[in-house]
Amino acid sequence: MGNNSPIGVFLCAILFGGLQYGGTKMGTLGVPSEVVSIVIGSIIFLIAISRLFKPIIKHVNKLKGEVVK
Amino acid sequence: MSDFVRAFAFILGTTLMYATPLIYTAIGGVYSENSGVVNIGLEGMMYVGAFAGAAIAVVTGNSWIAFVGAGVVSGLFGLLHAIACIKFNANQTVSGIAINFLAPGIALFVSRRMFKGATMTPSVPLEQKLPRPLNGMFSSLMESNPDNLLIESLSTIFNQYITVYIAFAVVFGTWYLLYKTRIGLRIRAVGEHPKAADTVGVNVYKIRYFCVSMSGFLSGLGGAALSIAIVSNFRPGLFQGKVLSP
Repeated sequence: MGNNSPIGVFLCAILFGGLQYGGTKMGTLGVPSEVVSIVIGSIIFLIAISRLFKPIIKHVNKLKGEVVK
Repeated sequence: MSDFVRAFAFILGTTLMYATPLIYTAIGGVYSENSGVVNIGLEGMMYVGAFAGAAIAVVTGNSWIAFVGAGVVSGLFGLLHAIACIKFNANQTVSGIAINFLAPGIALFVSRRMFKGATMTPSVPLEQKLPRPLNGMFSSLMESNPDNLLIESLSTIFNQYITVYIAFAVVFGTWYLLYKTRIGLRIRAVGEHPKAADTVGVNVYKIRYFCVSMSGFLSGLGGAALSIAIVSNFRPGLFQGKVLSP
């Protein structure tokens, strides 16, 4: 999480804290609060399979005309 | 004395009953670990299995379809973990934790969709739960000699749901598969030294996909053993105090 950088970890904690607290509030509007754990799970899972996005990032970089690693 | 024996038999019987979900799930872990993939998501898969078992049992009314269906549904979650770990080379712990978040969320969400906003499934009727295969034998024995303490305690210990017996069969079958067959040798080789196994022509990916899906399948059976044999429904707090998590 946060790509091993302190600032990334801070931002990540803010995101998850907001999700956790907002989830309980969302329940009063009729949205099931389990959606939050689905969202958190999906985020972590997509981070785990971040290799999936490498080709896309490479492609974007190429379009920008930057040097591709 | 007879009170002590009865209490002891009761403790043994209940222990067997509550050990069953753990046996299934841990055997799933054995498959996964032996093929070299750490599976932390077992608990989430168990949760999904418990929900799927209860939901399918309520909808179809057949507990056998529910038992196998629970295994298949959490086998799909195992496949998710397998794809992340094997194809995308993900960190196995991170993927497992993601599944532990994802699976209970999805189970509860689908439960709310299916049962009009309730996170608790309706209970499965008693006659549709999984059968107790030795029930007839023990009740006829108890009738023919009513005051026999030995038969009474044996009945308390061994008159279990069929999931208990299947669990022990699964334990034996896994031991046989892993240590006595060719495919078991391959599984262990893949776990021990994947490069060497690959060099001698074993398909490492195929074996790992099989093993991780199998671990999902077995933990689904474990969850279903809890939700449609021990208790008769699924509810969010079902696992509290019953599995390893707090």
